[in-house]
Amino acid sequence: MHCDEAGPLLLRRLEGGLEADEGQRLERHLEQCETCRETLEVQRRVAVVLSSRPVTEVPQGFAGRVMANLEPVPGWLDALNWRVWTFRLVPVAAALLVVAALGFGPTEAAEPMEFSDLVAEWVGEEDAAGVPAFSLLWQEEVTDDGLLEAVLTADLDEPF
Amino acid sequence: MDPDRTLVDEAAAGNLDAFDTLVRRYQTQLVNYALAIVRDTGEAEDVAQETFIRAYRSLGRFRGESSFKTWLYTIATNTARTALERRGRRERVGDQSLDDEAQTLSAGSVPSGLPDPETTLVTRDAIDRALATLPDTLRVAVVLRDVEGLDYKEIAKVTGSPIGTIESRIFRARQRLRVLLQSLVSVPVGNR
Repeated sequence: MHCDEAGPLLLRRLEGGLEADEGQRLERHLEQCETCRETLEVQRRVAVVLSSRPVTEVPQGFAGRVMANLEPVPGWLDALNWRVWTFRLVPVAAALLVVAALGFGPTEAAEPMEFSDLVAEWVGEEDAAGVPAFSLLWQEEVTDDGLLEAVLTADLDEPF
Repeated sequence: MDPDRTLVDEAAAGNLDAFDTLVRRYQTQLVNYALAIVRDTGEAEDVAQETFIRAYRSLGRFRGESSFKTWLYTIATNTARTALERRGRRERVGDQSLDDEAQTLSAGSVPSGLPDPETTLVTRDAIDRALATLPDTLRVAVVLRDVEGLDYKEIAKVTGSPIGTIESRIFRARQRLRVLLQSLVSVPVGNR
């Protein structure tokens, strides 16, 4: 074992966290290496000195001052932090707009329907004789213009 | 199981007495930790107070992934760093050479014998002055381990650094402090 390899193991030895085989290899190295023995001792002694650092007394009334400066606990709505969420959702909204534009954009124009076909679809099914069951107008030979005029001027309370 | 969990839950539900108990439980540790980092009594008290206030505001977001104590130290570390940045490090002695600092520390006043108030003050001052010469990352790591007694996993959580990095920082910090605290650490310097 070289000193470079021993360095990290020295710390773990102080903490008592060495695996058995690591410990044996380190001990063999320490028997031969005065420098690493000294390093181990320095690490241990500095730790002891620091752990003996005298504690500073907290001034009287410290806890009271802390408690006096507390504000009410924020509710769950505050905890959601809407400003942050709104800001974070901007790119999501933009991405959705792009997807919507690409996926649901203008489609091919449908074949224009004759107005009579539209009305036929609208007023109902044909009866067994093939005559539209619902509209008198449908029974007559009318032009699209005539049919439109009839629809627009019809009394809605009376059947065509 | 986090020994503070019940109090934390009660405080999060609005029980001020529960939070007051937590403040009294950790006030000494936090003030001393802050003092070791910022080296100014008034500023350390401000950092500790701000830490508790921030913790209280964030209780609803505390998920218990670490202990409450570790979480407090995380907030305290960030608050202390902010205080140091705000101060602009004008009072730090980091630019002073290690040799100069070692002479200063050893020339004066290394305490011996039974601790009296003056000795206590001198010892603490010597340690804090030595700590102040370290870069922030080394100082935070070694203070959390050797002064505050956190384990490596807890320090890794507090600092957000891998355990290997923490080990390296603590190792280097102690090696540098050995020179600065040679009067307290009675190992001959310069054998390497």
